[in-house]
Amino acid sequence: MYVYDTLDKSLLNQRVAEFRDQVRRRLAGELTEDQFKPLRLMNGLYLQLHAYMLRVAIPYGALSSDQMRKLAYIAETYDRGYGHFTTRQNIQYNWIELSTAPDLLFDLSEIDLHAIQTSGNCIRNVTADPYAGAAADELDDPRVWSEIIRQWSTFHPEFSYLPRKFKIAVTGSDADRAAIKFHDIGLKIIRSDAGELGFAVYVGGGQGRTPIVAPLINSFLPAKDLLRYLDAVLRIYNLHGRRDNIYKARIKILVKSLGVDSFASQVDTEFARLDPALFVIEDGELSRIRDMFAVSYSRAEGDDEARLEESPEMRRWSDSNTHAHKTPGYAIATISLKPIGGVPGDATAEQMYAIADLADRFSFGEVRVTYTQNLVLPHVRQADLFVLWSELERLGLATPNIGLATDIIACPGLDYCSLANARSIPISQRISERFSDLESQHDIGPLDIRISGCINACGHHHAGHIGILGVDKKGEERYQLTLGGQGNGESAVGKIVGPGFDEDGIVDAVENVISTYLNVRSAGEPFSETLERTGHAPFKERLYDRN
Amino acid sequence: MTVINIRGEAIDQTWRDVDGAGETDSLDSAVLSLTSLKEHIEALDQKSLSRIGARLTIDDNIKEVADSAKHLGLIELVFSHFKDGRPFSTAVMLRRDYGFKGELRASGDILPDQALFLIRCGFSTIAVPQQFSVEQFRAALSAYSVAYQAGSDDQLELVSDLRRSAVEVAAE
Amino acid sequence: MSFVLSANRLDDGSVVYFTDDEQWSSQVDDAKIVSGDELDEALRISRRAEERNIVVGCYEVEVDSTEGKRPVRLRERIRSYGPTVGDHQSRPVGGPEG
Repeated sequence: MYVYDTLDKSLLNQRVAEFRDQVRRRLAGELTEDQFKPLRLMNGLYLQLHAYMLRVAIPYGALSSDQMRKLAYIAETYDRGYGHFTTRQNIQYNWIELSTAPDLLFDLSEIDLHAIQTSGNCIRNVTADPYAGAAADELDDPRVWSEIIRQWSTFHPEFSYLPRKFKIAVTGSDADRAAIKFHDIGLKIIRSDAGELGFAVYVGGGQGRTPIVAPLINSFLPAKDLLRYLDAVLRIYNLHGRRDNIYKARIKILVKSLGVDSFASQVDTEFARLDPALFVIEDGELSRIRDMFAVSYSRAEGDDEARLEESPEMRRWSDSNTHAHKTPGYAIATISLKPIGGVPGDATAEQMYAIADLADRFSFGEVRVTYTQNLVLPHVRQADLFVLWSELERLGLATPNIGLATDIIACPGLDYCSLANARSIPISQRISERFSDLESQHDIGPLDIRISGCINACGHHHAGHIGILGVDKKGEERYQLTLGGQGNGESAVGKIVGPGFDEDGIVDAVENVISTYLNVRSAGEPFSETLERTGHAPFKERLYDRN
Repeated sequence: MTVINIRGEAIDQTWRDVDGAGETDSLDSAVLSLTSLKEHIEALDQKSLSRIGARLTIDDNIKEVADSAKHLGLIELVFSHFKDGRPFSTAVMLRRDYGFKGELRASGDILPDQALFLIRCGFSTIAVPQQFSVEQFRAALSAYSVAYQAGSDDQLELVSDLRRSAVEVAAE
Repeated sequence: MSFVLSANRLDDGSVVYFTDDEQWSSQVDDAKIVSGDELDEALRISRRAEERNIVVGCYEVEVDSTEGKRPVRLRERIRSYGPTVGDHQSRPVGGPEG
């Protein structure tokens, strides 16, 4: 884990003091709401449907157990005893008060947590592969580079008043568990033919009203040039991104209007103008950061014997919820926050405290947040998996559904969000209950169902194998169905199949899509591949022609 | 209009607003719009340029006077709205690419909370908007003693190229 | 058409409604009913509270005056009565959910 030194802590403390004063000035009327709002947003504080909502940053999705305990404490002390883990690896609290927010931020700062730049037209929390530093298929740890980008982007004097929000994601693996191509900048760590470490750079991806898979802008950026290149991209965006229309203000619109080649060449020109000396990341600094992420793995007595304890239930859990670790004898374990019929991504304070304890016992005190709204214990000895699973079972956190039909991503929707047109959580709950049977889920295989309550697409519906978009049709909630999206790896935007459904119809529609898949699939063919092979036709027929 | 320097001190300022034509002599210490500047620029040598200022709105393109810009005595960048952060980049480019060494002033719709960012992007003076006080800006300028990025100001010492501190950092 | 006026309290963010005696209550049932003709004037008066930094974002909510003061739009009902999911209700569910 990156550990704050004196400089990091000073910055954080000064920010807490600055925000306290900004709140004082607002409450005293020295700042109008129009003036205060961007300042408040840069500290992650929204005025939402029910109250103020605070979005706390979890840098690249990585938490220490003590930080998780603090998040639980915040939920108990300032909120209603729970928090929501988001599709940007952050956590949200829904019932916050402005007058006590400065105290809340002070409490967070004691454990190096904050809400800096989790909203507003600035560079947001850098997201990364939740299996960073653990996955067997990783070329280099994306947290190292995410931490460097975090520092470079925090309180950047030039880039804090951008045309719109700016999101950067990093992956160290081809598997791309960070969906980098759906970000303003996506970075994939690669090696050149000569073996030099660097990045493939994608710019101009995103979801929302105009979903776009980011084009490749630079096929190899040497690692040492990272910040200089980011600086060039951000300057071009700051100067030339549209400011006349918030729906056309993201960098994806600029890239599309200029054209990929022209955009890339403008970046190269700006890049060439920049003095490399201003952007050096010294070897000492790089090592300092890198060393903080190192873990001392060990093998213990009885490591091989523990296997004998496994039960069929535990094995089913480990089939779906564990992933290969780079170190022999270890595994990556995912804690599902998608209990059948539950609210996706929510955790109570009690659960958070319990997970912190499990992290200490089983995972070197580390927890990760995934953009799919689950949690991860990244370094678990295989010999400990059975005991871990037993503990999770006891806590109701052992749903064996990662990547399966009930591992649904749902935005907070109209139940919580003032931007929403329809509710998403109840739809997710009903689909989850419809497919609760674990045998069926494992038979269906990998299936990403994603639900957004409005076109802002915080539920990533564009990137779902099955995507659901809530709309308002003459005051009624209505749901559109898309098929064929893909988040990780070969990212793709899903396509609408036909007319929308009401809240009962959409659940039936999802069931019809899945049963169609089961009918037409070839042996061992996952949903996404069947859809690719057959196209929409059999699904449309089942959904619409039978009426 | 009160103008402050990078330490938040109100300074006397001798620049005056001039709109439009006039003989070259009367342009001494004048701040011209970009349009006016372009009209006069051919007739002015470097020495004369150094006694003239240019006021740029958000839509003005500094490249139109690129060669002359570095000789001007003052460049003022007007913020049309505090949320429109283009002048921050313009300032950085003026200092870095155009080698502008004169007074770089921020004016228009600015919040005290932006003061430090302005200084670190290379602004040397700020015109305090009517609704705020010099004290509010001065307080904002001392809100942070550390930073993560290279800045144009020389107020912060080098810790590493990634990080800046005005405080001596104890050996870790 | 009947309306009530709603806003968020500045200091704690809670949803509040403008009452007959020009106060702000967290219960929609306490809200002053305003007809379409009276709306502009009512908004003008209620927005004084924005200027005095008591509330933010004052706006009108259409209600069905035959059913107490039940907001017509689902969004406004959720805002009045709380989320339709979870067991973290903010206040007693005073009206039909969903």
